[in-house]
Amino acid sequence: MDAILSEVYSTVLPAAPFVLAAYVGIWLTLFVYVFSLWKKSKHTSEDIEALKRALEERERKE
Amino acid sequence: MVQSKADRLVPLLLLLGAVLTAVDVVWTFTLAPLVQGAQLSEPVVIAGQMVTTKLLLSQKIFYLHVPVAIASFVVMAFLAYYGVRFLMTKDRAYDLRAYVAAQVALVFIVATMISGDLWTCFEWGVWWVWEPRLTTYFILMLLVIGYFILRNAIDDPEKRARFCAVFGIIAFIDAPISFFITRLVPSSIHPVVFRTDSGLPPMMLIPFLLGLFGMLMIGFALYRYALRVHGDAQAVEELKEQLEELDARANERAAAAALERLSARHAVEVVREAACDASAVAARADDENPSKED
Repeated sequence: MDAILSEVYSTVLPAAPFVLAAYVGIWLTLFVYVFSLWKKSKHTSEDIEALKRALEERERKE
Repeated sequence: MVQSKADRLVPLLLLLGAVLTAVDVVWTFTLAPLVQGAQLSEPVVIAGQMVTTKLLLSQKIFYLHVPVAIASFVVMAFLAYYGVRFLMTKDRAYDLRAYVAAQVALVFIVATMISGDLWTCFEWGVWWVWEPRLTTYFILMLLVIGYFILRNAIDDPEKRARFCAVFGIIAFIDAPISFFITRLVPSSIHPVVFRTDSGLPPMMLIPFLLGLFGMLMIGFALYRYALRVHGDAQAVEELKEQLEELDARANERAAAAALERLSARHAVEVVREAACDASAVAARADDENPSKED
C-alpha cells in the first residue's frame, strides 16, 4: 500500500478489534440479562405448576 | 399474570428496536463517514476527496455507546419517578417497578462501561482515567449497585421499599450531573461526540438517531418483560407463603386437637385411676374393720 494511504488508515485496523469488542460487549450484556430473565420466568412457571399440584392435592384430601 | 396492553407491545417493541439498532450498525459501518484524527504528513485524494488527516474507526463505537448511555439515564429517571410515586402512594407495585428499573439501568450502565472502556483503552492507551464524565458515571454505577445491596440488607418489605425509594431518587441526581459534566467542566477530556450545534452530517446523525430510538425501545421492552417476570415471581412467592401459612395453621389445629384428645384421655384415666384407688381404699378399710358392720 502507498505510504500516505498506510498513514491515513494506520488507526483503522488496530481499532477494529476494540470496535468489534464494544459492539459484542453491548449485545452480550443485553442477551445475558434477557437470558437471566428467561431462566427466572421458566423457574416461575415450574413454581406455578408445583403450586397447582399442591392445591389439587389439598382439594383431594379435603 | 394477566397481560396488559403494554405487555402485548413488548415483542413488537423489541423487534422494532432490534431492527432499528441493526440498521444503525449496518449504516455505521457502510454509509457513515470516518471521522478525522491527527494531521497527515501530506494530503492525499481518496475517492475524489482531499484527505488531510488520519481516519478514526474507533469513533464508530459511539453510534451504539451513546444511545446505550442515554437509555441508562432515561431508565434511571424511571427509577426516581417510581420512587417518588411509592413515597406518595405507599403502593408496593411502584416499589417493584423501581426495582425493575434499577435492574435495567444497571444492565445499560454495564454495557456503556464496557463499550466506553474499550474506546478509552484504544484512544487513550489506558483502561481508566479519573476524568469528570467517567468518574460521575462510575459513581452512578456504584449507586445502582448500592441500591441492590440496600434492598438485600432490609427484611421488612415496607421499610425496604421506603428506604430504596429514597435511595433511588438520590442515585438519580447523579444522572443529569454525569450527562452535563462534559459541558460544565472545561477540563473534561471526554469527547462531546453528538451535539445539536456540531453540524453533524445527516449520514452520521441518522444512524445515531436510529440507534438511540432503537435502544430506547429495547430498554422499554426489557423493562416491561422484566416487570412481568418479577411480578409473576413475586406473586408466586406470596402464594407460597400463604400456602405455607395455611399449612402451618392446619398443622397447628391438628396438633391442638391431638393434644386435646390426649388431655381428655389422660383426664379419663386419672378419674378412672382415682375411682379404682378409692374402691381399693374402701375395700381395704372393709377388710380391716369387719366388726364394725357386724
